[in-house]
Amino acid sequence: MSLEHPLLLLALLSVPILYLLARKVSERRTVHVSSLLIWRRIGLDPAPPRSLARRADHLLVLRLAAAGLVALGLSGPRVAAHAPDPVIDVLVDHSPSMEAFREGVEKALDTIRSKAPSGVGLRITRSTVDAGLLNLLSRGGDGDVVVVTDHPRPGLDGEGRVRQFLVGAPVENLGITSAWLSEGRFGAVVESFASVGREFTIHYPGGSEKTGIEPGASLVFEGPVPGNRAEIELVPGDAFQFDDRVVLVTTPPSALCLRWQGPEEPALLLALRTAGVRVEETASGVVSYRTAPGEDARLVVAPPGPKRDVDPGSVVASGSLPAEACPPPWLPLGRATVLGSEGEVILADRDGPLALQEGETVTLALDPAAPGSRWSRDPSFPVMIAELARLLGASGPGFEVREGVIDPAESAIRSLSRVPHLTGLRPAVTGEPDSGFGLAGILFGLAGLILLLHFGLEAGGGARGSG
Amino acid sequence: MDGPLFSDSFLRKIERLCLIARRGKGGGAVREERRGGKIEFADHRAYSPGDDLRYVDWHLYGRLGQLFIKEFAREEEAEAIVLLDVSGSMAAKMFGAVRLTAALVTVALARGDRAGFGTMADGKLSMTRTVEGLGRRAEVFEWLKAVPGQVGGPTDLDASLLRLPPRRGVGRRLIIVISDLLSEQDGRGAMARFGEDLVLFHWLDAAERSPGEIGKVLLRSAEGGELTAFVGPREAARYERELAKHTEGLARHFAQTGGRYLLAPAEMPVTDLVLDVLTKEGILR
Repeated sequence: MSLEHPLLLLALLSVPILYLLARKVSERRTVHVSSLLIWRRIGLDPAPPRSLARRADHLLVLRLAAAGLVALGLSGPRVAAHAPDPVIDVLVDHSPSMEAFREGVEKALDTIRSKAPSGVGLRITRSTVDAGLLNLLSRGGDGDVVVVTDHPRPGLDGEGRVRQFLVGAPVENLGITSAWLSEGRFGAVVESFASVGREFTIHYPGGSEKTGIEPGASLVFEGPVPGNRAEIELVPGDAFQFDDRVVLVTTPPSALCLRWQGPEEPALLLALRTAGVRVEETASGVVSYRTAPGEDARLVVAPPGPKRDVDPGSVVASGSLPAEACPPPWLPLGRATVLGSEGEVILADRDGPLALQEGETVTLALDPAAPGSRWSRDPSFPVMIAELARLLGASGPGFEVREGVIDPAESAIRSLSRVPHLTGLRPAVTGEPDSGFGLAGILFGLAGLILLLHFGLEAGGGARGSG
Repeated sequence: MDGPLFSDSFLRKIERLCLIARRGKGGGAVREERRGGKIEFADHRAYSPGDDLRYVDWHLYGRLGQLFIKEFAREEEAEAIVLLDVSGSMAAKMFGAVRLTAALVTVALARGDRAGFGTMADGKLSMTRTVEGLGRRAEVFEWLKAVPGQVGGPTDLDASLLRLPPRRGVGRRLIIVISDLLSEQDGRGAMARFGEDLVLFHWLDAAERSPGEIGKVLLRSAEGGELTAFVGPREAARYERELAKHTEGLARHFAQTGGRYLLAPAEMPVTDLVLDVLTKEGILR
């Protein structure tokens, strides 16, 4: 049983107060009269008749019972229909885009169910992610909330209680992201968005490794890279080929460049130096983005200051440009007017280079409406970016690319850790707030019946007394 | 008691009334005929403000240089004496009783009768001197205003009434008694001798007539004495029956002796009592 308004239990104090009042009233009091002449003549008893005293006691008991029931009723007691079971809260994104992933949602639920602790069921809420999370997290408790969505939100996993499960085509996908870890070393994270375990081979400079990965897990690889260029490739690839190859390059310290790998292997590398520039929605440092073969990537670049809409700029591959062509602190933005050599693309604003000052912010995002940016619909990429930043110890934007000579003598690549997404899920142990039924009506009804009985007894006693 | 006892308009109304002692139509007025009576000189007394200047003895003034009033004893001169019970039991009801006394004195003075009042408590009787003429009314009112300060003591109307001095001179004397009669010494024997010249106001308030259910109480009398009792609905009903027996006995008694008995509600405004009840009962006309 639970109480909706526990503070109203204070109304129970009215019971002893009524009792004390009744005692006070029943005590003998002094009444001043003009004369005792008539009073003495009728010969009064000093105490009430026993029957009358009993009736007064009965009336008092009824009054106290009615007051107590009303107080209990006001506190809103509820009786649970059944004992609360531990459940895992699953929030299924109810946005329109999820209509295409019904099967994926079912697979996701199966996966979550299989990962849930024994005897723990799923409590499924279908809602938009923001509203659903607001509701579920505001209930309190320490149970985890698994969000099943096709549009994961960066940083949400860092909330502590929230896990994101991606559905749709990426459910079958493996993703890989990579970054420079230190001079001459790289790190790569392979993440599984598949609903089943998969095997893959990772090729990296100087070797390869074949391994398996559990659904929803992440594997981190680290290794040396001779030179300033590293290509890490997952084999076999999957339906989303954009995710199975990353290319890392080091860039001159004075350049901020997008590298274009050419039409045969179209991979767009974004290498941002962050001295004085903060990049939102991407991890700073070296982040790899890739486009579909033969398609343009579009970047929306907002100028510094308050965010406002700007026309997307097109990035096209053309010609070549020395890295020295974009000296700091210029950040090449927007429509490319100057193209780098060997796939290097220097972004520039459509009106020319945009000067950024120290501490200013550039918002960099992909335009999901652009037909050529198929990868922007890949929900894995912001998650991977966030995950990579987290794993590599980055504290969000501001992660800086490290530069230097790569030492080929560094140790070979090795698997560092396995990061399960869905193990150790904590169930919510709070009961269903809507389950059961309220007792207030019953208690008020009982109080009413008792009062009726009280008035009946009082009237009956009064009639006998006057008769 | 500060301020006037009555408004001027009320006083003007009651100045036109007449006290009736006897029952029945056409008779009983304290003074019905003003003409034809034999007037005899009785005494002189010193003039006091308010005295009727018609009775100043100007001859004596010429000789002595002092004002004296000639007092006459008229054969048909009437007198109204209001005797007010000021025992402890009347304390809560005294204001109304004083006002009733003032109203009755006013009626008597307005008709040219002599009027006075006395207070009774503890077997004693304190009489004021009787006065005549409306000009003395203010004097009487001042005396009356001091009465509530004298309230206290047990009721013994028998002893008090026996102390009433006999009528001086000739003429009729009407005795008006205002008391709650809540004593074994309720003076019914003493009052019987007044015969038809008695008007008795049995002065009881609502709590005395019907106390209701007051529960478990210690009854403390204003005249001393306590009684522990439980007063439920049955006891309250018994009280009312006993009081009814008491009042009916009094009414029967005075009906036999020729006096007028009236159970007067003390909580009723005196103006209503005088203008409505007393005129309806035929005590005032």
